[in-house]
Amino acid sequence: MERSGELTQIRTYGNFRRPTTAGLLGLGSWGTGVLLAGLILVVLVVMIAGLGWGAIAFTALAVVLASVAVRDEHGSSLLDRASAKITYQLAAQRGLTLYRSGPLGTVPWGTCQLPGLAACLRLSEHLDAYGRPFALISAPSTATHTVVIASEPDGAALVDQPQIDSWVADWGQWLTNLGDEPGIEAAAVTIETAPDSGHRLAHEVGGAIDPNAPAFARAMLTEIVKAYPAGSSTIHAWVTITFTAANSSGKKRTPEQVGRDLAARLPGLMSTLGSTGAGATRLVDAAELCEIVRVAYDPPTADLIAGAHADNEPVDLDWTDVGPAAHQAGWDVYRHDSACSVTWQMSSAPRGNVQSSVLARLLAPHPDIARKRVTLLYRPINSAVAAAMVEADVRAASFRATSTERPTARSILDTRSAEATAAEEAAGAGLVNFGALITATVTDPARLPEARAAVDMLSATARLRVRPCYGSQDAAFAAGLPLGILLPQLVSSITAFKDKL
Amino acid sequence: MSRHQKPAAPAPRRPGPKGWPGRDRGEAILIDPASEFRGTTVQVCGLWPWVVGSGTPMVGVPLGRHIITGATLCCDPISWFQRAKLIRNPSVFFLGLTGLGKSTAVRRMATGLAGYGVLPIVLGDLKPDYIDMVTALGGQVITLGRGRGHLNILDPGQAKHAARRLRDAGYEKQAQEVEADAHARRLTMVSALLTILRKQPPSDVEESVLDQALRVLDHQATHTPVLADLLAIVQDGPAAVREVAVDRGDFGEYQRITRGLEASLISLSRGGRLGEIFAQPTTNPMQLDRPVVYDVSSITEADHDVRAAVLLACWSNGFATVNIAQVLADAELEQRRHYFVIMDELWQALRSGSGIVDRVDSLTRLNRQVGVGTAMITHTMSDLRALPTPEDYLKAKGFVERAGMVICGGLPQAEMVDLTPVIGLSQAEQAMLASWQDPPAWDSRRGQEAEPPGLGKFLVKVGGRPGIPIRVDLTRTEQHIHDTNKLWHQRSRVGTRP
Repeated sequence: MERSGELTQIRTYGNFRRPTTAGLLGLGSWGTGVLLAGLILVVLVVMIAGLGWGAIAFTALAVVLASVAVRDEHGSSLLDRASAKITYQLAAQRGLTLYRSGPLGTVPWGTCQLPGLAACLRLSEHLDAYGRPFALISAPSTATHTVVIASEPDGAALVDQPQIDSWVADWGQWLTNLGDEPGIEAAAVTIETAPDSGHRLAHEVGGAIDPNAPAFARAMLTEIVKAYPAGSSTIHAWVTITFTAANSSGKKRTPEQVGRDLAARLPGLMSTLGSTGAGATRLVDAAELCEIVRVAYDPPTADLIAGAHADNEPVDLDWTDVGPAAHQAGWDVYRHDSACSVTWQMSSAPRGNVQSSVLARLLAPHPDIARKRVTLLYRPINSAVAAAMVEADVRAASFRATSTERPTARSILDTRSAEATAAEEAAGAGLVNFGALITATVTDPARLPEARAAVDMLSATARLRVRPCYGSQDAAFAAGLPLGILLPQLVSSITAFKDKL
Repeated sequence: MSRHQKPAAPAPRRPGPKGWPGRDRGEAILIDPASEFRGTTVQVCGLWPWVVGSGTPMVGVPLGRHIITGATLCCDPISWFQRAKLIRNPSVFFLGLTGLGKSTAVRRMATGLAGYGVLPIVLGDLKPDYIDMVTALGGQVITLGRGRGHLNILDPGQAKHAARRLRDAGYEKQAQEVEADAHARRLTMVSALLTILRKQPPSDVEESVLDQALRVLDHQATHTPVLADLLAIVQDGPAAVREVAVDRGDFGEYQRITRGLEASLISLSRGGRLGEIFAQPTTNPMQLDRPVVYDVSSITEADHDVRAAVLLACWSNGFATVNIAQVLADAELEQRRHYFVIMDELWQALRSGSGIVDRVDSLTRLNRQVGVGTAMITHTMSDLRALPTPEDYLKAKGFVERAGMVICGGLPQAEMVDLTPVIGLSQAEQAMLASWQDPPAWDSRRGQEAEPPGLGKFLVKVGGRPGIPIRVDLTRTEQHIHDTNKLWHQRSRVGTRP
């Protein structure tokens, strides 16, 4: 009896929607406007120049609108792809996709600072209420400040479903709170898998070993240090929370002011994080953040850094020196220092219903991708705005469903899910925009095809559709790092307009 | 050099929002905002990011590798208590069916700890499993058994010497404490031996007679006393002893009162079942600064009483020595040493008599103060359930509850009923443990059994957190100390006499 009860109680999650505006024929609100205006124009052309010219004008209009309305399986239209290709080629011709830094580079300052979107980030360190140092990354371009929290999740491997369900529910609660907390702009969770260098073990054993210990015990420990780390992986997890620099009255605050404000708030945010399955949490300080970024751009330094830690030598990394000495942003690959990376974005959230373990294979270490970073980006929608938004969604969906005589099954389903969302929102849930970036890094370019194949396979198991961030590999790579780079706020107004078409 | 010299066209002092503008300066022109989706938080949380575990902090002895991720797990009760602060008291409870490598895992832990400067102490090795290890570590093997070694229960051991050193260094109070402890310990041991001998504890008068007699012995002793000396005092009846016996000045009355005691002491001091081991001067006194194993393997299980008495004596002696080491370290006369006390085949020891249960009970509560890490090893919870009295079972169950960490090997499904309320095993963990105790497959081609599925596999449970499944692989260095089948290497041959 009980067993059958358990089986029926598997929780599933779903109903993820692409934010759209109301419109006809799969167009957005602006697109619909263009369509209507264009039709009037066609009518005028017919009246003035005759049917032949009218037909030509109509065809032109249809082609223009089709380039916007016809979307591929990743949801990008012909216009999107064409404009990306052209912009990239122009940038490549102007040499903008290259980066040469350091004393011999072309970048001012003569340091190996971070490239591109991360170049303007500034780092400062503050103390929280318990006197623990934490790094604060300030982005003048988006007027935001970001803190990074490292966590040690327990994982779901040997945990019973009820416990997982409660963790997941708490995670949902945590996301809800993001929308309610004042000043939170975005959050991200980064799960990085990397090969274990063995230095950590060597450090532990080397640091703890007693020089007067029996030779046999020392011999055994030395042998273990040599034999054990081969082939094993480490998993790091970081949560980044991005706060807006503006205070409640809209005035911009300095990093010092934000740091003081966060000092009191962070312990609370971290303690609630613990009950979401994130396990033990701690704040990342400036030195550690520098190491994280440095290792991401130049993976072999992981060994050096771990080695330095093992010997208790200081790793003196300066924020202006953690970037790559050179990079080359290709159309679908990003070369930086000693490694090649490819970054994918989630182009379609899981359709249908998924269980909470859906990301397990994607996040776990994979033998074909030595270094892999999966970043889930969350942008909470202010609870004050959320209610209006879900109502608008319901209206948009029902407009689409009722605009034709015979609504398609899809549009009916759309209406229904929009209504479900509105109901959940009304019952107290928050509304959140989310995306995902997956970065695979290999040190040997010859292994890229394997990594690509592996990510395709892993994302399929996660029921995600992914697409390489064509032409913007460098930006996507930086956004996947725990630095609090908010892509949606950095895109040009043209891109933002395109989405409304 | 070139016409783009710096003073001519000063570069912008700070990078723009998309990086430094210009050729080779990595400006991010094209930004593709990661496609965003929208959902309510009660749905988006389903894409739960904490589904994979990040492993444990790497602190302690490298014990094994994670079965799923292959990451190295460092784990031992002392490091996890002292440095990682992961557990609240430095103890570990091992559970698992025999033959799946429990002792091997314990030896790995003990050897590693020895490498970290902790002294492993095996108080009563019944099998013997640890002699090779302690020998390899350059430690002391104390053999006890009929005709193999003696442990004088009246020997104050290091106490006398330590008290003198403390006194010389000006620690009078500590010196008195050490002496008082030594006295109490000897009294307890004699009482315990009498209890085991008679199957009932000595009376209150007898206890006070013994107490006084020991004091008298200490005052007049020129050499380390043995049981025969104690017997002589009781027989002589000096004034101090007669006083506590309340004989009202009548020596005949005194003799009547001490008759039973005298008889028992005669039995103990002139050999007999128990006396053989305890009535002679100690052959191999325990040292403070080396790994130690008490080899009691020669005492068979049939010798139930002797085993109980010997184990009790080993414990008493071992902990007394540890205690003295800590007092000396407090006074900065010795290095601070932590000890890792291994109690293998705990069920056998516990079953030997209720004295041991209480002893372990107090130890599991006090191990933080005494400065020792403990490893308690037994097969199943049912072993504990089989203890003579229900109180003993409850106490023994408390050991598992209080243990800082519990490490389980393969266990039968029936065990889960007892175990789950204590350490909170999830269904998945239960299934895993049960699968590890499956019998090995029969490899018909090679005509031998394949490796049992649970060999060397353990689940490390700390508090209510999900367990960490690991596999302990032996290194070449330690292969030779892990041979528990030495007698079975050669084939049996009838042979002929030369």
